[in-house]
Amino acid sequence: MPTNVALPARLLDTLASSNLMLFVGAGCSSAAGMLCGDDLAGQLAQELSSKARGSAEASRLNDIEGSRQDLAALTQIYADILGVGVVKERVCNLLKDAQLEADKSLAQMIASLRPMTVLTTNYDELLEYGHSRPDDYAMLWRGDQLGRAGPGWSIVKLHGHIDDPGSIVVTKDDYDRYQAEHSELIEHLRNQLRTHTTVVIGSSLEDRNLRNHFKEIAGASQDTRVYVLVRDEADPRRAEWEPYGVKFIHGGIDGFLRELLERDSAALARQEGIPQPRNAGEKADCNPYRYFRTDDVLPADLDVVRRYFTDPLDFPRVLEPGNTVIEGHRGSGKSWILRYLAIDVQTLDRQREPEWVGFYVKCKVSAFDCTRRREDDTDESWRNFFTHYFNTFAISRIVETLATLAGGGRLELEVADARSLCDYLARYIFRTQMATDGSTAQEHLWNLYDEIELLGDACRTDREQAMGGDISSSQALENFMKRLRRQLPSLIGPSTKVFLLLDELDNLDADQQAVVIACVQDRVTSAFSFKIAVQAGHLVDMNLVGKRFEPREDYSYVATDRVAQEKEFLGFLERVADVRLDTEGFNTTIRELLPARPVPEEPTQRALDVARWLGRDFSGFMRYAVLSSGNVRHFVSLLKDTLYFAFPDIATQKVELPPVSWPTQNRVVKMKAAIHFREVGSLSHPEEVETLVSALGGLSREILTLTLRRYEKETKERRGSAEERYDRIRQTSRVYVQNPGALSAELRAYLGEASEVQLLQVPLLPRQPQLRGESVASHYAIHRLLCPYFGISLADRHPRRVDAGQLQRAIENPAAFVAELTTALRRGQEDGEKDYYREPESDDQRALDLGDV
Amino acid sequence: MQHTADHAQQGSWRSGEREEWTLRALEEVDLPGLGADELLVVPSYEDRSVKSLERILARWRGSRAHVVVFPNYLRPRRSLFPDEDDETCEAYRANLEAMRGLLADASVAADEINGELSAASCALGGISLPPGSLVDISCFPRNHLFELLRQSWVHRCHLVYSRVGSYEDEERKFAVGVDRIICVDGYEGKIRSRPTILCMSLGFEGNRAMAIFRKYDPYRTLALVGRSADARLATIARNNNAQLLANTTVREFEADCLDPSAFAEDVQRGFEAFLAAESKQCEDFDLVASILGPKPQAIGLHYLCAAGYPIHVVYAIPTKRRICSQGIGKTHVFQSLGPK
Repeated sequence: MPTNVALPARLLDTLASSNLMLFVGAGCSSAAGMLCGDDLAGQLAQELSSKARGSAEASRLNDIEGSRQDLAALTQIYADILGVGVVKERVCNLLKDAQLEADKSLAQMIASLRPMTVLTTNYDELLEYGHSRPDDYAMLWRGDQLGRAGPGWSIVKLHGHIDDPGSIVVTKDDYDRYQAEHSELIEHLRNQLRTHTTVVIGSSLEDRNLRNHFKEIAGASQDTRVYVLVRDEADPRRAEWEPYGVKFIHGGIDGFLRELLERDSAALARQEGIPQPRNAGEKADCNPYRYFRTDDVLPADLDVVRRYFTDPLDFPRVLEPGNTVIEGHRGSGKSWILRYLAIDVQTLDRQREPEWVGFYVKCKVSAFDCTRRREDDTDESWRNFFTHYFNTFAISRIVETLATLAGGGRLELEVADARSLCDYLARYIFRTQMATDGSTAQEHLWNLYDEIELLGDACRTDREQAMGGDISSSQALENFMKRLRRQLPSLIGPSTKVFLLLDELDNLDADQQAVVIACVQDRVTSAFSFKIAVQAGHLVDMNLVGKRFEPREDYSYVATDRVAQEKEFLGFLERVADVRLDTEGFNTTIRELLPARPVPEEPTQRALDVARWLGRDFSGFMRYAVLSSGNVRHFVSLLKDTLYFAFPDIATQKVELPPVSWPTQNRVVKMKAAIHFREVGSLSHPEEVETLVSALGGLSREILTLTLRRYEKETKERRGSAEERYDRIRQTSRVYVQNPGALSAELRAYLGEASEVQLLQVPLLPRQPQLRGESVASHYAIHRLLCPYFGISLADRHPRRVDAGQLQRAIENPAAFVAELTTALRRGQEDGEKDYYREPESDDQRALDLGDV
Repeated sequence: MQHTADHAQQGSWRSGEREEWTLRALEEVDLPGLGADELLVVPSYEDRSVKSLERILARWRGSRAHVVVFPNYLRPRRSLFPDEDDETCEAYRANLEAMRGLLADASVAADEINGELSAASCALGGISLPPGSLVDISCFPRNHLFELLRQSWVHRCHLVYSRVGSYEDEERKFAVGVDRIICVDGYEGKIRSRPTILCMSLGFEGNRAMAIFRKYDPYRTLALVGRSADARLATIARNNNAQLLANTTVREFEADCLDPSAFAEDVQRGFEAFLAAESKQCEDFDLVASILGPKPQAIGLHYLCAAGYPIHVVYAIPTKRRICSQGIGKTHVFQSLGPK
């Protein structure tokens, strides 16, 4: 972990006022693994020696040897012997080779800061590599280019640029003529030093052409204008520079940039702030998207579920008789479906006779975290205990529902019927004494509920005591449901379907689920059926005696997870959004509310092509839908935050909803992206998961950067057709592990955890449902909400094939992992991805695949 | 009011009625005068486990000490180059040796009992100390502390608590991950089908708080930020829990850091304010609580449970344990008032 660097307060103020400039020296490139001056000199000396030996220049061998650690002197000799053009070409080629393998993380950190000017004496392209796209910055290395410097990023190469070998300042002669030949650059340096606070990183400030300007301008200023980052606190240069008002910061480059980045992000967040409503405190939240989790709906507000309900895809299958497993990732809308099916929601619409009666039973963690199987439990004792607890738990919820309905006048129930029901449960189900007397049906039922809950409490707190008394049998639930049909004909008619709606079954561990599965298997032909919601990959498929829980035989299957690129699903999300706007009386649609950034008039095809991949604009309903990665909760939550941000008064009163500007949409998206990535902290292996996901994000960004460069180059050279060039732009939003069985246990755990917090997404496996223990997937997609975080676009094509061993390196050495998987691209070769490029079936599909929505 | 059974058992906390210990500074307490002959201590990788024992032994003249040892930390180093886990283990072993030495020098017979970090009843279930004994809770893992508070004998013992000298303040230093989240035995509370209110005292470990928040998926969270003379501590707690506190379903309250009775009052006050704002009653919610702040807050939560609040207490077991504190701060004694 990098050591923290203490940043001076004044420097932070400068950062906040966007008045900071960086001066980057060779140390920064060395830290990234580039050749340093001595390495270059050594290599050139060797080459030159072999050429000089036995030739007319043999007399200079001693000079060559003596200049092995002086690049300017050595290149001067090289130029004298072979020509200045040859040596500069050679230096540039050596650096070009080296930068292929260099670590880009420092450059990426710099590029992640807010736009500023970076002055550098380095010839290489590392600073440019930090940016995801070529037009993100102005790169200047000649005086006549300085007019191009704008308010955004400027990279000024004081000593020339690798792609223009003639421009580099490397020989003694170059240095001697620098002042005279580069007066415009020097004047630019002086202006920048006067108007900005400068941090010098990776430079010893020994360049004789530049050091005087630093001293003159820093010395003339009242305030500190120049800070120098040094590794050691007792750096010997302090004595020379401090008299000129130059301050030294102690720390490593990595730690300094990390700290600067964090402070910069925090300052930006403070500046932007979150808009607040004018009359906060009043309670009339009118944001139609305020409910984005089912758990936020209190029992008193359940009507919201009915009013906002939008038929999800495959809903008719949920309503079919028989057991159903509804599976999907967290936030995919499972609970909303079950809540809607519940009788306490259905009876809110008094105009409609319910076609079904559903009893909602949420398997809360707190209800099951203290009834786990113990080591000394036999299969039989465990089955008896947990069947009893599960019966108790489920029946108490049913009784509670009936009591609530009776209390609200939504269930007509005579006292005698209630008493009969209570007696039945006490005598035949729980076989124990229960004090349930009351003067009304409702009172009877509430007393019964309390009595049953006491049985549940006993199971949770003192299992021995609970097991010592009479316990319910495995037939208890079925018998109770039959009794309900007989006892409550007004509620449950002969043809009414009865559902036990079991939500969040994944909160039960494998042993607990195995017992419940046995109950579900018994219910196939009975008078009621289970509708079970479970997170993908968390369903146990076997009961305690090893009998499989078979799809079609035991249950039908519905998946709520959809791919955001599925057009049908985008239509569903649009309905979800529009139904809420309509229900709350807003006279607009989601497409009107979230307009996309307008396309400039008469854009060139090239501009459109590049813009599509820039990954900087996420405005418009369709992009919001893709950003949610097919997750309803993420989509609604994003809409909620957008409305609170754009119209803060909506938190307290109803307001007009004019279209939200595209820059506002983008600001909200970027904040959500940053928050989403921080979810990693609550996992078992936060550091490893962060490293893994960052490596995959870095890979995607690197591939995009490299292929965009290739596109620009090929366009410039008019190579191939426009379509061919465009098709060669790539981005990896998914990795395909070709041998998932070879993944190490640790890596599987990290991938699983990353999927749990939805940083990565595992497309559903062919097997339905996604069973517990089978979660080793071959495809892992980066959640689209992370696209703004990694600076990549929403496009989805070219899954990158990786080997399990390669993926392991994503944890051990992320930079090497990215370098390894992009070597071919960096060398200008194809990297074999074409094999599994998925050709879109239609233009519409192609547009969705590209995020071109 | 829909149902009554819970309500009948519903208690309330009134300061002065239910306290079992009273807070005193170590210097104010005449330890020999308490008549304590036995001591229970838990060695740790933290400096304060040794330094706290030093302070106790400088004032206390007993004959016997019970030392709960966690073999989890006794594993050998994995490579020539120690990682942070190795450093934790080495610090633990060094501190254990130092404490053995201190006890031997003071002629105190030491009984070592093997414990298990994730199973609190393993060691504490078999111990019973006579009335008036000292229990140094400074380095008790919180699940062990709750288990300790379940033991009847401990209510006649005096508890010693030493604060640390200084903490690491960055959230990432604490981000070691959460292995699993368990309900603390004996603190199951009463769980119905009501919306969950999560009451969580925040420490510096933002990731642990976030893990509990995610797992229990509460309707609302009452986040308790410690109130102490050093305002910096609250700032760090807020910074490290920024992600949690930014959630719209989280309400922030202040609560005392050191005095269990004041903490219990603060929690009750915060909860009642929340209920008033929501126009709800206690019975409308299931209560889940977790303590990630200073250990005396666990005693405060125990007070509330003992007073009849049906609280489901949960504990997040960290994946690893790292040295995140240095030195020792002030030492306090919770002097037993005898069982209530």
